[in-house]
Amino acid sequence: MSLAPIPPPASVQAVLAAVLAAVLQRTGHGLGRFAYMSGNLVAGFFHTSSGRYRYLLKHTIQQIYFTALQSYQLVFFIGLALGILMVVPMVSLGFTDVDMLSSLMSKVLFQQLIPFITAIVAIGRSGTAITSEIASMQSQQAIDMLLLQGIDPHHLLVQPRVIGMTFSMMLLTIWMIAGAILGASSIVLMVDDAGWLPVIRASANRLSLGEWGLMALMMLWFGMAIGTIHCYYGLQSANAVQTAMNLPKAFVRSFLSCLLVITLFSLVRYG
Amino acid sequence: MADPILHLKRVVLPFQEPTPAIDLVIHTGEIWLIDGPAKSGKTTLFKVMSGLIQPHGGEIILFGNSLRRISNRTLARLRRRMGVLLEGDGLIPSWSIYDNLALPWRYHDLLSEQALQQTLVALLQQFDEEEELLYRVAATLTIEQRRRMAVLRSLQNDPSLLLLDNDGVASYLERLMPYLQRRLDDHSLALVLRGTAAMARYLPADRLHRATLRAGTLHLHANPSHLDQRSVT
Repeated sequence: MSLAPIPPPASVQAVLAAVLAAVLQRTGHGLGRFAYMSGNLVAGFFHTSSGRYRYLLKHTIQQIYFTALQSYQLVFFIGLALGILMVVPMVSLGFTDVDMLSSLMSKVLFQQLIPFITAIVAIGRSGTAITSEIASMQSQQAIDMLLLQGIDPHHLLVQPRVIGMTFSMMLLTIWMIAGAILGASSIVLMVDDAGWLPVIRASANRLSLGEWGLMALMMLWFGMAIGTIHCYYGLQSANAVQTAMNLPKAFVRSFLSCLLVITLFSLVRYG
Repeated sequence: MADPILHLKRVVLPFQEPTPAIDLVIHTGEIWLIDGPAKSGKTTLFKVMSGLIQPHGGEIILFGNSLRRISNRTLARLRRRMGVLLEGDGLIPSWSIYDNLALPWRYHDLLSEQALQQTLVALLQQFDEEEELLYRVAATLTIEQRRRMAVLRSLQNDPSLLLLDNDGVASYLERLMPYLQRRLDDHSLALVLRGTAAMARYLPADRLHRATLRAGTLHLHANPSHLDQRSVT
């Protein structure tokens, strides 16, 4: 019996190069799919039937109802708590100037924390639901059946979810900001007789039109990223095992994507 | 003889290991029963026949059109002449059966709501199904009920080519047979179904062709009632 010769060990550089190539290939593949899905979604607006628009409208409203309206209490409560948590330490240290508190709240809460926390709520609540729902359709071969019926699943299933998620993010952010203003102004009211109105007015004044525009742009990106990433992983799940594996992947990818975007926006604003 | 409704010319199924090419000619009025062991490629063959996946080689001619040379829009138009039941039932679980069945009609603006209602109710009545099933959410139905609804969906266009890739359809064949028999006699339908040899007893012997798929290779069983040679390798 002869033993096969043992191949020489690969150099560290070769291993690193192979790992890097594999990572780049996967990233490129993922970005390619993302670009294809996004392009297909946009293209889908322009050559279609009126029936498709009816489905688009109906499912977009359903998505907004599920993501925005069904979680408004949760989001408002989180905003309220954030507003209180933000102001209580400042007030206890003796900083009760309404202008200063409003400025701090605008910079830290409205422009950074609230959009990000809203995104986390949307990912956890609606994103995972989107992935599971599309995955269950995939496992029943409903996606294949749509193709056989001449229906592009991206147009019927992905597009309304992405649009609905984008609108919902905007609504939820505004709602959470309202909660934060209420929470903060309640604390200020206890120690200062400034009244509700000056606090609300001062907070609102801190948000210029440009700030609202940047926030809307950020929400647009969050909604598109969360919707597209979760639909993508739903479509990649052909059975229960793959669904279980893809759910956390979708959560992590959309979380990281939102974190990256909010960091970039902060750098643009204050950098 | 009329042109075939579906013609597989030297088609190689998309398996990792190379398999022999398949030639299969299907005409209206014919029933093809395809059996084979698990993982032999039956579902792959049905997906190739319906144009859902591309073969590794060869050509598929559906209703006289080569699938390699047609646009997606033309393929979608040709598919309206086909009825397909996949291995899964293909119903969207969170929708009602009505919404599932109405989807292609509504999406492509083919029928008004009133006509759609009449069409779907008539479809269920034709096959002795309870109308109440239409308004139930698909996920709340039993597997058997869902499969029956999926079969009805494959029939709702009065297809010229019916591909049934589901063993479970055997229990429903008896109820479907009068409709299928009439369409087969008119030469307005070709039926390709997956199933075991035992299913042959539900099917008219004079129209039946049987083939077995093993590891991507299709073997024809001679039918004594019509020995005109179909080319099957």
